[in-house]
Amino acid sequence: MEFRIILSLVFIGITGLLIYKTRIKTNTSIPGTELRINLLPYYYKKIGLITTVLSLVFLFILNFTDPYNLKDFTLLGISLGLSVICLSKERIEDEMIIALRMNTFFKSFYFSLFGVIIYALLNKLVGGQLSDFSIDFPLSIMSIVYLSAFHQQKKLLANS
Amino acid sequence: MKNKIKIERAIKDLTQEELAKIIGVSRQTINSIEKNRFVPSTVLALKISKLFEKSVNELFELDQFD
Repeated sequence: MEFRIILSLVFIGITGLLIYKTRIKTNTSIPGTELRINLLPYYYKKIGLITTVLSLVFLFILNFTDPYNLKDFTLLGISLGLSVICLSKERIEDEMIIALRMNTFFKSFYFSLFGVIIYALLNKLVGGQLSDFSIDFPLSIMSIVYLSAFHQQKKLLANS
Repeated sequence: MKNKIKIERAIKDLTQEELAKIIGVSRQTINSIEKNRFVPSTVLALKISKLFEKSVNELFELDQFD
């Protein structure tokens, strides 16, 4: 039980640090981005990836034996790791990447919003409850949609 | 919008990579500007025009779709 409390506090600390590091800053030096999120440095992509992969491995292990009931923390770890990848900078940040990011952030918000609503209603239809959903589901969906859309767009521009 | 960056780049004998490095953007950005997929900001357009020593109006011009 104490282990869960400590882990919760660790997650609260990590989330607080993320909120502090990615706070909105006012910057008029880059046009069109007067109000923008202060993104994390490039190497945070690797940290996010390691967190996600480790959480997936732990999720796999905890499927077999879970004495402290810690499975939900691994789900939270996956969505936090994916969020960190989303909120970190690219290797070269220029105005096209910023425009691309704005576009895909909006796109992913839109798709995951309706995706989650449709999924929840379908779940209700087959006899589930609307309250079956935890916070990690929309978070992960949004991050995955964002990452795939962003990289698809970037590849399209690079190969054109 | 049409642009003559590719022609000017050929005259100056610069690759996309070199031009990108000089004005501080990625090669993909130069590529997509040349292919008319991305409209650069005024700041970037002025940087390009300063490098090629031509006015922005000579480099970029409107077409019938604008």
